[in-house]
Amino acid sequence: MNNIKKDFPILKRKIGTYPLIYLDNASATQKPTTVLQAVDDYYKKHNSNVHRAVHQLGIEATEIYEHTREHLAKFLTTKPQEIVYTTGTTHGLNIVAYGLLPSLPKKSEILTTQLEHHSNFVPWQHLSKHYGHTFTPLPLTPEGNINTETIAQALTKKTRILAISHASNVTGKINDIKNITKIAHDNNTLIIVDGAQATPSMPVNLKQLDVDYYTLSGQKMLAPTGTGILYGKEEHLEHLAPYHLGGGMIKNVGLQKTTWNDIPAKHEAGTPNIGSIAGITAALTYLKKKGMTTIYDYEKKLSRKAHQQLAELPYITIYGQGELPIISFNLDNIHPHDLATALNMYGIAVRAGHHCCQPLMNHFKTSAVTRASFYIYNTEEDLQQLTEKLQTIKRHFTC
Amino acid sequence: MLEELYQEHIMEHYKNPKNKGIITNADIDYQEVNQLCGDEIHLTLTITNGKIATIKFEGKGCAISQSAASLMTEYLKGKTLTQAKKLAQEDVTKQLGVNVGPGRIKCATLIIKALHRGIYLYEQRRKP
Repeated sequence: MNNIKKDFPILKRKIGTYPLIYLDNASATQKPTTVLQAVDDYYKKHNSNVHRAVHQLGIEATEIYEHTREHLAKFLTTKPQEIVYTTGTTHGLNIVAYGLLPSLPKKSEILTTQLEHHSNFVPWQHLSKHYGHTFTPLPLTPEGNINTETIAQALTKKTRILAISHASNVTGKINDIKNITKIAHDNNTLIIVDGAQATPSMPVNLKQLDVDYYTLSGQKMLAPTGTGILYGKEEHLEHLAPYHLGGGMIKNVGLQKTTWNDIPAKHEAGTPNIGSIAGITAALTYLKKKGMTTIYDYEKKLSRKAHQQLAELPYITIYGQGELPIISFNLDNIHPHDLATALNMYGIAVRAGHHCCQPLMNHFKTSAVTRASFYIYNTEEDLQQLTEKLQTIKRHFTC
Repeated sequence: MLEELYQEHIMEHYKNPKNKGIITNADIDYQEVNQLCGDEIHLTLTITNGKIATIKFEGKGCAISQSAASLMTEYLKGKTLTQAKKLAQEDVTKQLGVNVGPGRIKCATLIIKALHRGIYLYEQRRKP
């Protein structure tokens, strides 16, 4: 991962007089030149709508759109028809929740965990109540992890859905999805996985994982914002009721009855975000060139190093620990927003707040944390800068 | 640079805030939360002849939101409700003595948001 900052134009910019050190990657990563170029090319050369026109631009736009889907399918080891384009992970989870929950027998049990992002929590909580199901967010270990045992014990005859993240956006901890899926399936429970944090950082093979649904966001893996996918096993997507209705998702519209289009179009109503989707292939190509296993090893190393280094500062409290370099912490009683503002003054971009994980914040008995999340272009030097500036800020706020 | 935003008087108000507490039987009692960071302000006031007689706040949050609450409650004592309703972002910035920037302005104005919402509900209640 040597010297790749040069591939990302934005990393050359300065914040005031300081060079930008971008450590908010769990939220959105920066984009390499090749991705920016692909989006630019799309609008300069191919821009039109997909699946509608027979003119040359319409054909090219459709080709880009569908080729990207094939690339995604290959990247995740699945079939193109099992890939539904979304605006991001949240959208994908809503498609599944709105499609599935009305169809379940009354008083079904919906399981999730207390470490989930609100996007894998609120739809299940809200719709379970609406459709008369039981919603159970499973408890965590003191470190903020979910034990496979806890899941196994919580499954009953009525458990129809288990919604869980592949990796935490607060602690960077990876869940053993392959094993958890087996346990869920042995109980005839569907498993829906939020892969937003895992996919950018590790090899994901959906065939091997055998999950029923999997969601991810493009903006966390070098691709443009407003992109994402929902993966669903072919037979599931066929049966799942569409959540978004309108153009593009129909086969035939009569005055009283409409038939749905084939998958995946059935779940893609309206004009998609083609211009941004056009950047996905370049993002995947970039990641593949580096190698997902190499990326994973690099990130694990950074995570270990970051935990080691920050743990040496006695006034830092770290929340949880994971394989991925997502480190959430507090510095004494300095409010995370003050800390993030102070770091920003040195050009260091971190995130502060509840990170859309209020149940997990409550578990950690805090209302907010500061989160530094690293990605492939971050170096040990970036970590060193973070550590030094934390020391400086501590001195300032103490005096 | 850090010193510019987190000036001594701001840190002083953060560490030793004025007007901390809750007034029981207050005329205005309102809690506001900053969705962004979870900062909280619980504001209580008594009103005599259209003027703010006493004002107290409880809260937790960052140095900006809490010091702004301390400074503004000091400033508001004795002011009329009409004056209080006119308070804007610039007035908070003036009291803080520093421009906190777009990223943090919601922290600084949380106290004003609570005040205005509280006054609105108070006046709604008193309508014949």
